[in-house]
Amino acid sequence: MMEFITTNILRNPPVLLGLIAAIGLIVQRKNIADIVKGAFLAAFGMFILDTGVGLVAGTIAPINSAFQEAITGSTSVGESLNDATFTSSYGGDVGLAMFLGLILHLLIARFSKVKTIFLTGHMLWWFPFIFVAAGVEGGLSGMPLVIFGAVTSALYWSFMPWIMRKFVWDVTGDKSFLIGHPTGILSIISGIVARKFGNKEHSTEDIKLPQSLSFFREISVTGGIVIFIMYIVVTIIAPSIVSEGENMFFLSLKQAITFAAGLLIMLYGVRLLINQIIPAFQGISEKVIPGSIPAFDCPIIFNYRPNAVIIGFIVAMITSTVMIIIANSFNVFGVILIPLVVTSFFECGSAAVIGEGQGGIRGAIIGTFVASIFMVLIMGISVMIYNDTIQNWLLVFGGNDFSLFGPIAKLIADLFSGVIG
Amino acid sequence: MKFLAVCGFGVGSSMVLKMTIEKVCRARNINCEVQNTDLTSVKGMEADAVFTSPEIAMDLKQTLKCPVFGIKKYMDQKEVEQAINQFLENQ
Repeated sequence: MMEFITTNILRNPPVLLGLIAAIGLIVQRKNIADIVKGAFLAAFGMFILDTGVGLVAGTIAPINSAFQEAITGSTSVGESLNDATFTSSYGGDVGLAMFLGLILHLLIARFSKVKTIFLTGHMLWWFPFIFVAAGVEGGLSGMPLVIFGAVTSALYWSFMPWIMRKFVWDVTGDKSFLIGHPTGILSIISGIVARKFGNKEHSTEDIKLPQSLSFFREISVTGGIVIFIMYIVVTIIAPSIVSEGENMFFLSLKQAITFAAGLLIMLYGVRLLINQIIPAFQGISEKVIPGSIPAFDCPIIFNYRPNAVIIGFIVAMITSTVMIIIANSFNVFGVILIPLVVTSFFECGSAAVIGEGQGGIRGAIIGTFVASIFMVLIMGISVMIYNDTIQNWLLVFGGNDFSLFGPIAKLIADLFSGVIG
Repeated sequence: MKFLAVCGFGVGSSMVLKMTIEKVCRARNINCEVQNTDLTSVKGMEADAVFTSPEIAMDLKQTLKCPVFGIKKYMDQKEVEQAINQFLENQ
């Protein structure tokens, strides 16, 4: 009986997430039509999300295997897990960890002074995702793995937005919300550096930036272009990646399109999934937790300092790309790093806004510069740690709190799995 | 009536904007469906009006046929209500 449930529900992410959404809708006393619709949409979302992650990771994986072949002369790809099989094998554990983690997170807000209610939907999925992967890397499985993922996620959701609250409030000028986003450590670094070295008299918002720079906002296009350039470079260094009869230009173009389309598909999946869960979570927290403060996605503060975001993106993109070229040339991490488009825009964009709040334009630039050096360092360390699970996914989305707390969680998981045996 | 809430990734902040639009519409008894989406996907979607940040709004005004409104504070019901009023007046 238990095995039947495990195989067909817990290890079957679309079904499990559909059920979790249904429970949320039942608690809100929605009518039967809404419940059925919401459950199915969440299940579709999970399936679509899985497909998108597979596409994105699938364009990154050949880059690293081609490089390893060029450097070591052999392909050492074992039968280990990779990003696509991780989501289908452990997606159920991630779903359960999310569910339990949310309950713990509500309890922390209810019974402690840390009043965060974490409402950044997609991060409610990605934190259990990276923490469960850390647990797997540390040798945990079954119920201990789920509990490990739930506790670490709940602690993150409650504490990180709370720790960085004063930096956020200096930007917004009121105390109405927090930021719940893996920019955390990067924004804190930027804020501290900016306070020390910045000058509040000159703001980023006093200068006029050319309209054409807003092109960067379309992250799927920017990302696709970066992957295209990356592939052109790779095909020159490791020509074996191009199979016979293929053309390097069109292979690169195809991979760039697959990456960008995969990104859009992934976002659509997350949207379908999370839109079924967030309103329930918000409804419950508004009812049972007086004085709670919502933590939102980082672009919410982008509107307060739009110029800082663009400046931060450019500073981070240049700093990190230079560092990545150096790291790749000397093979520092044993893994080929890819220019961090997504992290430079969202995470470092926020870091620049926070830096501007502490020390004007100079603070924003110096703060983001220091934060992006840290970004590349933790990225390199974390992809080594996540070697057997979500390495390719992390190469695209890491360099932030995922890359900082994931490895720490892995060390803790090592200790636990040693105790359990 | 169908409204779209748009942000760069279409998952986080547009969700907040979507909930604010829904609150305003419920209070004003406006019958509408609100969806959130990303900056790229919106170009393939149909809607009566689009709500987004002032920066993205500048972009979208050039590519979309429907009215586009820039909202600075996504949680601010008053700001959203002003935009909706403006939309209703011009119909």
